[in-house]
Amino acid sequence: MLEFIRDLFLMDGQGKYVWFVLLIFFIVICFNYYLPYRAIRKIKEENSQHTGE
Amino acid sequence: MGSPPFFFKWASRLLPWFSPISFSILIIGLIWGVGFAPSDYKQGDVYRIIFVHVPSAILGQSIYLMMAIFGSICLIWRAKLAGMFLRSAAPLGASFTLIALISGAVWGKPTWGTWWVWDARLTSTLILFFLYVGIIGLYSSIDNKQKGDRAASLISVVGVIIVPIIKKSVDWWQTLHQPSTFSITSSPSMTSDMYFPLLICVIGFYFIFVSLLCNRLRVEILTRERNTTWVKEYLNNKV
Repeated sequence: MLEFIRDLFLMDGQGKYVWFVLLIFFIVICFNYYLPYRAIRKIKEENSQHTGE
Repeated sequence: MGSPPFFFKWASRLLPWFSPISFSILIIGLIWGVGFAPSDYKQGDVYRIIFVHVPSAILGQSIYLMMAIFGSICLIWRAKLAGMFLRSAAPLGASFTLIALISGAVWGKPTWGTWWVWDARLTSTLILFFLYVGIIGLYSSIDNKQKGDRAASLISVVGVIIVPIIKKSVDWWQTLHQPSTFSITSSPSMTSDMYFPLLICVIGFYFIFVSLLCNRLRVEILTRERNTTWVKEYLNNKV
């Protein structure tokens, strides 16, 4: 099992390329998920401030 | 369906279960491709970048094609939701095209010996990325939303010529880039144990795009319809 994980991680020296691409991909996707949620939260906060005044 | 309040309610109901399904499909495809698909006899394991690179590139072009269709709708019928679609889809198209460019560069280093060549496929994809950036910039610089929509629609419709150029670049010019992986007219050029995980990844990417787009459209609708009664009611009930 440990050997399988090591092989998967190293990929005969090519793992750095594959894992780097996956990392970039997940960063971009997470960023795109996070931004709209932050924007909606901001709109709701602004609205609550306006209605509270 | 073209009404922003209807779409907003529909998207809000869809997202809580659609996003986890999208992620599950994507993760299954990636685990299968990266962990269990066989190595390529020529490239070894570095070919596994294909499971991110090809779906991103396909999506980058598909999103632009969709933007051109919605741009036409926006120009002809002045549909509000079509303009909102353009504004929401452009950053996503730029993101997926950027992933395709970066993953392509990283793949190019061990296989071609260089990060970048001014090859027809790479250069046309870079132009596609600049078109997306141009549309995003256009929206940021024009305060009037309707004018912004019309200008972005025009760029989307005119710029769509880049999509067939990207697709056919490997046939029209001599390039370092390999021929298209997916083709409607011919059978797959790879074995089924590589092709099926790739197909699942492509489906997963499309699902992720729909869920990201619905999220962005919800923000766009709330921002543009902020002064309408239904948005005020929604915000007051939900806060």
